[in-house]
Amino acid sequence: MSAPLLKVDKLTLRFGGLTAVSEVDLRVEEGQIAAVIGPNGAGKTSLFNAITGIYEPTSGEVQLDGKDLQEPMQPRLLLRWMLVGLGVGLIGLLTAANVDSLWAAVIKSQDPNAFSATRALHDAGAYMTAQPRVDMRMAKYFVASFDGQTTFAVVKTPELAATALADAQKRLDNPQTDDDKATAARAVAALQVRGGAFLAGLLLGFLAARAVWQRTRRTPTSVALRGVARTFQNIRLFHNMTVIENVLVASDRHLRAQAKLSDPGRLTAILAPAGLLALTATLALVVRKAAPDAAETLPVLLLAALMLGLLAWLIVVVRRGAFSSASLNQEKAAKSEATELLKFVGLEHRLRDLARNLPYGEQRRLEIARALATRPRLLLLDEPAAGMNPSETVSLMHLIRAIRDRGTTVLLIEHHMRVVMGISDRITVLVHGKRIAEGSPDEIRQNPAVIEAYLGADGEH
Amino acid sequence: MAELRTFLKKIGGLPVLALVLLAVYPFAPVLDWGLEAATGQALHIDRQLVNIFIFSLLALALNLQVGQAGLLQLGIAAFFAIGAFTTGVLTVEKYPFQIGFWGAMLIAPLFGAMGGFLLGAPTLRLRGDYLAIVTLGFGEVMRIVLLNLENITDGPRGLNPVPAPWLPTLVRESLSPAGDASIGVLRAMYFLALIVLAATVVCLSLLEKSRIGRAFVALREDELAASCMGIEPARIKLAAFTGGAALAGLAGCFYATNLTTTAEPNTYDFNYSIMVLCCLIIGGLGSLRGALLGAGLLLGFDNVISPLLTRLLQTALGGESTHVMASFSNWRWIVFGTALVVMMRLRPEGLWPSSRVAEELHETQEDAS
Repeated sequence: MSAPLLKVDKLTLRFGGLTAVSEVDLRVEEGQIAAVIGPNGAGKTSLFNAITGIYEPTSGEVQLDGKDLQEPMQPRLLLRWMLVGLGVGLIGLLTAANVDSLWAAVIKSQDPNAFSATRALHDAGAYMTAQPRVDMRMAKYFVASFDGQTTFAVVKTPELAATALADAQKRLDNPQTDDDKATAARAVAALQVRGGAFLAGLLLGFLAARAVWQRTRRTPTSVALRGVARTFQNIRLFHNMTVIENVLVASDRHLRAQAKLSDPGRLTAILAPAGLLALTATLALVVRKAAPDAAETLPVLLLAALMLGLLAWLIVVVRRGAFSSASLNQEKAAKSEATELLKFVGLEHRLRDLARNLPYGEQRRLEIARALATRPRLLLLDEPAAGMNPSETVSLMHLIRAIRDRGTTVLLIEHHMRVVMGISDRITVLVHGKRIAEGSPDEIRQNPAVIEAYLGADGEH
Repeated sequence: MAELRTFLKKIGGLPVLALVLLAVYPFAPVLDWGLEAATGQALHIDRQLVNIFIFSLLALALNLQVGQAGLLQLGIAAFFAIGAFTTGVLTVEKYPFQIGFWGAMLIAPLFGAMGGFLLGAPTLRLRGDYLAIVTLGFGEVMRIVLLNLENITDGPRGLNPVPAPWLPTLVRESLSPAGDASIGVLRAMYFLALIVLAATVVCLSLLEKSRIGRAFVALREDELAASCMGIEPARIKLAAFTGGAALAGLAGCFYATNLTTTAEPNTYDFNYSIMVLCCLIIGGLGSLRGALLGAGLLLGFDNVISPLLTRLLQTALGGESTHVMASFSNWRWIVFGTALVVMMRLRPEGLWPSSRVAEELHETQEDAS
């Protein structure tokens, strides 16, 4: 026998002192309809919530097709946390080093119209390592300590400044006077503070990123994306969206998965406007720098052409109602898939109605269609027959069987015994958060523990 | 009425009509002529329209965050300020970059987006009220940071002059009547802002209809259900927040260029953020047309109606009264406040809401009653 599709091992869920689910084991074989039954408050919905990532289980494991539903640890995650840490560390470093003074040292120390990027880089390096540096103010060169508190020399030419700077460095490397000693000590202290801030930021960022990851290893989203969809006991539709929009929301992920970058339609959508804008701006810049007044006709023509191109793109976008042919195609595909699903559950006549205007039974069906749109391998139905009349219940049973026949395994919670006994291949019975029985409908019907605990001592239903 | 509708439909609807009217307005400022004849006061409505376009951009940015993604953000002015000061630093003469308006127009939104991402990434998991408090705090922090980074932003003086956008001589001359360069610059700003605003509206309305727009609605309606359908709330919210911040940065770039200065950091205070929010609430939260209407009404009141009323009031009082209430611009917060209270009572969905948001609001009212 192959491995079960869903394997729940010793799942426990505690809320403070209350144990909602206690060491429950559950197996659902692929292609079956399984049911969880039990009296009210037995922990059935809590079990569903723990499986779908709404609650984090206190202990125990949930595996889908032999793979844990938690996101596994991967080496590239370390890289991601490291990057976050580096970012936070950089912010810490810049704060400790004082961005404002850094700016003054790097940008303001030069004549803006004769700016040298090499010098700026050099200045930035000197400032960050708390070395003495040269400041140009009022046509004079000030050789000063990193924080500007000590001025070593004021000279008039850059050559003299360079020698004065070398002297100052020498003096600080081997300080003789009290002043120099204090300056050197300040530099060391500043470096320590900056290094500390950087390391603290690094650590903080790394740990925070790791903590966030740990808390989001199993989210409803990630579980849904791994192929487990669900409906809710109290129907949770998007009430002010139309029926088809409800389904389209759920097919969102597949739309995105199909939208590969290689799709030429999508590439143009991103590159056309961005490229045009960037080209226009670059051209404008280059022309302005190179020839402020002369020969403007050519760039004007080019600019006009680019602007027209941009305009044409915008008009196409407006007329088609989408940014690219790729997105149009995806939308079309998703719509036809959604329509098909709605036909499957029997709601094809309701496509444009608001979800909240549907009668109760149809809302339940819509919720099932929405869950199916995520293309699940396992569908969890939380009391699908609640509030349905007998004829609706019968057609629901047909629907659930049809879902199984399409290749989706079904696990349901249900109080309605006719539904449970009529369609389930396997039944698990929960009482007070514990599993008391598991078996086929016939076995469950005859199990004395179940009759005792659930159906009542006299066995009547 | 029906004829008017068919006419509108024939030419592509109200947006196209408005765009055409606005596009010809600077050349034939009929309203200006009329008002000048009536009151003897030149109002320069085209100049005010530039402000309204820029403010509309900002309102659309906030609408993306608050109205569409449902993130209550009370510090939009911070991102506006980031855009303005990025533009200032990149264009003013005292710094070596001097890349001009066109380069700044591309980079200012990037910095805005960066700010939005840095704030949003760690905080967007917070719910409603907490997020509002964080963004409120960020708005104030940004203002104070800008005040204190004196070497970069020139503190309370702000950076100036921010140069006007460079234009080819041909364009410049064709926009300036009789060689009046200042009008040419004004018109250039007018059309630039109008074009960018129109493109933004187009893109945002397409976004509304796309899968991301659907995800926004789904998240607003039921976040848990949406996440069980494979939508990542954190990612969608971060995208909306970053996008809104980028748009606010772009608006800031236009603002600084139009004003020729970044203005002092204290301009971008809490009141400013609230004013943008007021626009949305008056116009209709979550609706593009509502955001535009709100921005037009609010700035229109501030810059057009209120000087007119002041003039009337002064005439009625007989001459130049120095009483504080004699200048109508001092009434603005009273008027805004009253307008908000009346709106909340009578029409909570705003003057021109999107149909979906109106449904949502009325549903909660029904639930409450």
